[in-house]
Amino acid sequence: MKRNIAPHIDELTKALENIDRSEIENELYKLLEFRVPIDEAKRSIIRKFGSRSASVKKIEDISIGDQGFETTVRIIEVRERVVRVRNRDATIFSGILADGTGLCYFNSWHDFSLNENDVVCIKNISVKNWNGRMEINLGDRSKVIKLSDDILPSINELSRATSKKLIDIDHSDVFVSSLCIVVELYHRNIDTRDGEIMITEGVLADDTGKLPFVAWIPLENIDIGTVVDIKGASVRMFRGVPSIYFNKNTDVSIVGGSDPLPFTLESVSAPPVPIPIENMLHKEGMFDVALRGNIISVRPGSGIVTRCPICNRVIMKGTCRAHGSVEGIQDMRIKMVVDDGTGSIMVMLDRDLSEIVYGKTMLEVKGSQGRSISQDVVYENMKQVLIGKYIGARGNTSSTEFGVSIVASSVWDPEDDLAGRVNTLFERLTETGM
Amino acid sequence: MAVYIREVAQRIFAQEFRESDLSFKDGDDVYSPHYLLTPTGAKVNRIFIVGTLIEKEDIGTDSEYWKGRVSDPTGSFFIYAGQYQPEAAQVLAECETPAFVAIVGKPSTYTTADGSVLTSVRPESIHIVDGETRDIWVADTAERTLDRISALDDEDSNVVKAKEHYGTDRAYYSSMALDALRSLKDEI
Repeated sequence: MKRNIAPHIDELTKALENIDRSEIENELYKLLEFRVPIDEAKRSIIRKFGSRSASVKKIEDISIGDQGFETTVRIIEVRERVVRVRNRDATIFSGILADGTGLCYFNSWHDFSLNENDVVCIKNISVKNWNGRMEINLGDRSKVIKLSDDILPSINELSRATSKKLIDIDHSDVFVSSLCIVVELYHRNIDTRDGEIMITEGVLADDTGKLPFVAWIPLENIDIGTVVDIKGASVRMFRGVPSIYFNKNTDVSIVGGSDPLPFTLESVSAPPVPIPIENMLHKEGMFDVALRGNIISVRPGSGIVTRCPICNRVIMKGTCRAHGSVEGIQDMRIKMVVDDGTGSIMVMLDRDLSEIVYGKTMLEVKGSQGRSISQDVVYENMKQVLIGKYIGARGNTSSTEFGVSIVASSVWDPEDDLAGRVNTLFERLTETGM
Repeated sequence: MAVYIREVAQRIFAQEFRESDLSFKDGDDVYSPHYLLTPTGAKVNRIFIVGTLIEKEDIGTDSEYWKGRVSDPTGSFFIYAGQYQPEAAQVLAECETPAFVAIVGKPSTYTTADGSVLTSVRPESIHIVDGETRDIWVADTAERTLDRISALDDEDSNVVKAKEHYGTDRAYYSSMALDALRSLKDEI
């Protein structure tokens, strides 16, 4: 019998690298004595010792779902946050860590007194999917051991970012560098634990696209139209759209007008070219895109609605889900399905855009309906006016479990150059010899 | 995350729609969607048409059941609306012919006693539109049709299935799109 199981013990010893061979042997004999089939016994042993045999991984080798491994990293960034879970405050520590093979977000529900720049070995950790990105989780059973500083490169070296065009930046990026132009800029004061600070927000553009940015550092001499070379900005996701964050490790330098650039303020300020709707359906979110298509449905909930004055939710019969009985504010909106033959998307219009598209102001609608507005009448009439119409819309898309939608920042009647389009199609027919 | 994706409203010319007779269900569930596969490989669960309503007739016996004929540059679509399509039936009852109409609907097929398959559209909605909207639809539909013809060499399972079933002749459908575009050029 002993002879037969030797290969199995070899196999187990290999799989459970840092477990003593004799321990595995004893365990296996015990199970076999109790008539456990060999395959089942092996699985059981791997389960038993698996959590103790922490394998060592590099960041480039980890993937979502990995559990119980260890890794040696430097903490690039760490922030303490208080979140409310099941009516209790909990403090979580989150940030970014790196080991030279890659960078990864992490989140800890325990205070391991991690500090920025620490080099640590963290054990018994798992990898989860958070907002479409990998995140290392430190839990109850995790361990952190501080190591000497010189075994990993410096923060600067570890977070050195690859240079990318804006269109190529997505959820897999932690740090990026890019050459782009500021096309929108505004300042905002926000409250933090350290008092009120001013942040700068805006939009960056290059010849491939646009993305929003937030600067937690002062931006001197930077205004709309300034070309900037950004190094080591961090990327965060907001409603599926990447957002560029400038923090104290980000280097923002102003580029002089000597070198020719593939874009100018004029060229990037042009409205986006409409793209097929099908290209929007498999993205988490897109920033400032345009589409064209027919309105094929106007959804219930369009028309005159009443909103809660506190939270802006749509309310029924003067009662808000969160704030109880309130004096509602009347508003107009349209939720419609636009389809261009490649795909269909939900387009949301606020009051201003609804009035343009519908061709009547909210006051006119209210006036014509008298004091007791029948919301159904408005909705039915909207369907009459809108369905079938050809329309262009521009805005940000986002994907939810109910499908992809675009919140319109502008809408228009596409002055379709029909003759030009027909000629292009003729050319296409001749070219392909069809 | 499994994201809900609404069925696209396909743009198909009447000629291609009438020549389609392969319908199938995606999955075995009672609620699995029905599709009509067209010769150029469009998988149709919903269709969007803008054309001219040229004839209408109430063919119902007990309750109203409206039949309509909607023409495009290549032929005509038959639409049937009864008590389960109240909005569409009402529009058909009230409108005058001829009129430009935009129709969102589901394809439906009927097999006759001698085995031939008739296609028609069950409209979810019918709305009166202007001539410009109709012209844009013809250009859009020509473009989508050409897109599908260019994709006929793909390994996509629907394309393969369509070619097997119909033995699709791309020159035939290209010339259909060409004729539609020519008619448009004369009009604009």
